Amino acid sequence: MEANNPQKILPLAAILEAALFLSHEPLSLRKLSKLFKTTEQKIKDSLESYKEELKKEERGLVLLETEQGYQLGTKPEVAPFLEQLFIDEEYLSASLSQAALETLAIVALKQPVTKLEIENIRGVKTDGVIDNLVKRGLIKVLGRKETLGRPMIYGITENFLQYFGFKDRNELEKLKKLWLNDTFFPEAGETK
Amino acid sequence: MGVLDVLKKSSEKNRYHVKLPAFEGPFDLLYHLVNKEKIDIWEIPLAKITEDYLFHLQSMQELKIDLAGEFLVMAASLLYLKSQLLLPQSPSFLPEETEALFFGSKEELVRKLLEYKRAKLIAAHLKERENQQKRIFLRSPEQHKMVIVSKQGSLYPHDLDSLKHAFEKLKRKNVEEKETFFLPEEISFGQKLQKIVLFLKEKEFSRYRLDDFLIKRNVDEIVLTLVVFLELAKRGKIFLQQQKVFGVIHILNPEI
Repeated sequence: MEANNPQKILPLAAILEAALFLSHEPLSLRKLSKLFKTTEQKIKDSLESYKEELKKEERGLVLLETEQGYQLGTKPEVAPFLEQLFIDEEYLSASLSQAALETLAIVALKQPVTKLEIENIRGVKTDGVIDNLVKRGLIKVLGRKETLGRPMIYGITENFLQYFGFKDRNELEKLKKLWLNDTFFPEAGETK
Repeated sequence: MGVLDVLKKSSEKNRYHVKLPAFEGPFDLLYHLVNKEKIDIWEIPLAKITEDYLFHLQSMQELKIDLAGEFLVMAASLLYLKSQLLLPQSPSFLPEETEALFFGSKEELVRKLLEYKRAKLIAAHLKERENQQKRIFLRSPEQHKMVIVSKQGSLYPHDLDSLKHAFEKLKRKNVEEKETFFLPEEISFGQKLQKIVLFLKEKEFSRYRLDDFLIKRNVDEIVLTLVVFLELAKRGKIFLQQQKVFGVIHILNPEI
């Protein structure tokens, strides 16, 4: 039953590369270590050296690390060529509108947050924007606030982290601390 | 060059092209004005900024830009604030209802403007990240580009011929009148059910070919028999087993 123990005949790196190549979603350390019956540390070490290997100029891929696991992507540098090559395909999705970005900024900063709280900051109605963001899976309903009218409260999703390239929630939390600091506003910090 | 300058210039030439930045809302416009003047939000000169704001609104109206109500609420809020500063403050003065306005004091205005600015700066940061991420392409989840090595045949006949062949086979069997089991014609579902149940009970076997029950000339009866078996299977009285697609269907373990 060699198939159960593939790393005995094949280097782990080769199998991991193949698995990452084929996968449509991030592969977690837990899943990989279970599958290959080895420790998460071993998988992690192997992936880290693979990541380094890919940093070479002649490689076109990059190993991305998200909260859900590892995933292969193409290097930003090759993007212009890929855009030409796949001009008709759906790889090129539309960017978010300014309204959407502002709304996401507020949700990321203040979550759990209600629609009214978002509208209070932006000064405009935000219904359509919120619906679209929920549809795109960038924010989600976390529940309802136990106040008058029991309004829905929103928060960001895993998809949000991936979309904006955050490694995990910790990376976002660190940034949030910076954002909430008054020195975030250069000219405001001086006078206060 | 202000919007009105553009307007003046254009009326001289009788045609104009104006490109205005699209404002996301009243705070966006106010923030833009404060930013343009390079004033510290904490030191915001209310009179000047209110004037600028109203001027801008007027220009937008002249350009027939549909103004959302929020832009007017902002104008009202600014004017209210300005009037408050002009009036002498008396200790007995009770603040009016300002709920419909964006803010009731200058502190509140500053706080709101800062809060909006914060959101805007974060939005700009997110935009940068989005641009960076957009240059990294992933396998799209919808498109399975994987080559399937172990191939399974389709559930449906590949062509009309095989369908015809299957039908011919069934028809031939019927013509041969291999009367394995004889059942009287023109019977109801209940009767049929009883017959089949009785038959299965009497026999010692626990495995039959479904085909054998279907060899009848009458189409109605084929359908009826089939429905009875499906009903029995649904009730868990029998099991229907098929080893492969288009294979023989067996009736198993009739513990009725």
